[in-house]
Amino acid sequence: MKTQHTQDTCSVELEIPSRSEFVGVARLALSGVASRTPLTYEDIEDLKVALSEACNNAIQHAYSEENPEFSISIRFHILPDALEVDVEDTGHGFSLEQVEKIKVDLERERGFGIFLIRSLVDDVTFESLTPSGTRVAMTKRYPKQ
Amino acid sequence: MNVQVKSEGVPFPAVSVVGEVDVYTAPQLREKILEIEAAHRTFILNLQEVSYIDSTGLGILIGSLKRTKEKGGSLYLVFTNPMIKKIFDITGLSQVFDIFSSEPDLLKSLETGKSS
Repeated sequence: MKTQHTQDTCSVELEIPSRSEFVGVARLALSGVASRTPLTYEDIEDLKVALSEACNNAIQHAYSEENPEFSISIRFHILPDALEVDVEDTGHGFSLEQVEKIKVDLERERGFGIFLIRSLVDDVTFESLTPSGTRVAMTKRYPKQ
Repeated sequence: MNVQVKSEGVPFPAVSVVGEVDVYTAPQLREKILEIEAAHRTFILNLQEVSYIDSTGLGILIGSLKRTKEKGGSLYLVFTNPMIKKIFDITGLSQVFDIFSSEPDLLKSLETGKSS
C-alpha cells in the first residue's frame, strides 16, 4: 500500500490481484481510510458497495475471467470536501456508450452493478484508458456540518 | 459467509445466511439454494445476519425467485438491516420479493393471508 500527501489532500493506493476473494480486502481498506474522513457510517457503507461493484466489473468484464496475473489498482484520495475512490484496470475496457446503455435487467439478473454505483455515490465517471483499461472514479462528498 | 439450513419444526425450510454475500461467497450460497430448491418449492431465506450484499448476491436471489415461482412455490426473505433494505429499495427489488422482518412475522402473515 502506498501513500501520498500534500497540504490539502492525502492519497492511499492499493493493488489487489484480479480475484474475487480480494474484493473484500479492498472494502476493508476503504473502511480504514474512510473512517479518517467526516463521512458517516451510511456513506461508507454506500461507498463500499460502489467500490465492490467497480472491482467486480474489472474482474468479470475487463479481464473476461479471473486471472491472478492481472491486478486492479485502487486509489483513495482524501480531498478537503470529499473522498474519491478510483478503480483502474488494464483489461479490455468498455466504451462510455456501452455504460450509458446498461439498464437493470431483472429477467437476465444483470445490470445491477453499474446501477448501484450510480445510485450510491455523488459523482462517477467511467474513462477508457490508452492503450487499454478502464478507470472508474467515484466521489462521495462529506456531509455538510 | 456461513449458511445454515433449518428444516425441522417449521412449515418451510429456512436458510440462514451469516456474513457477507459478495462475488467471492455468492457461489457457495447459490449451491446451497439449489440444494434446497431441488427438494422444496417454498423456502425462507433469512438474511438477518447478513452484513453486506452486492449485485452478485442479488442476481442469485432473483434467479432463485424466478425458479421457485416457475414451480409454483415461493421464496420469502427475512431481514431488517437498513443497508440491505437500501440496496433492495434502490434496485426496486423491495417490490419484487416478499420481505419480512422476522420468521415469526412471516409465519403469522401467512396464517392471516397477507404479507407485510
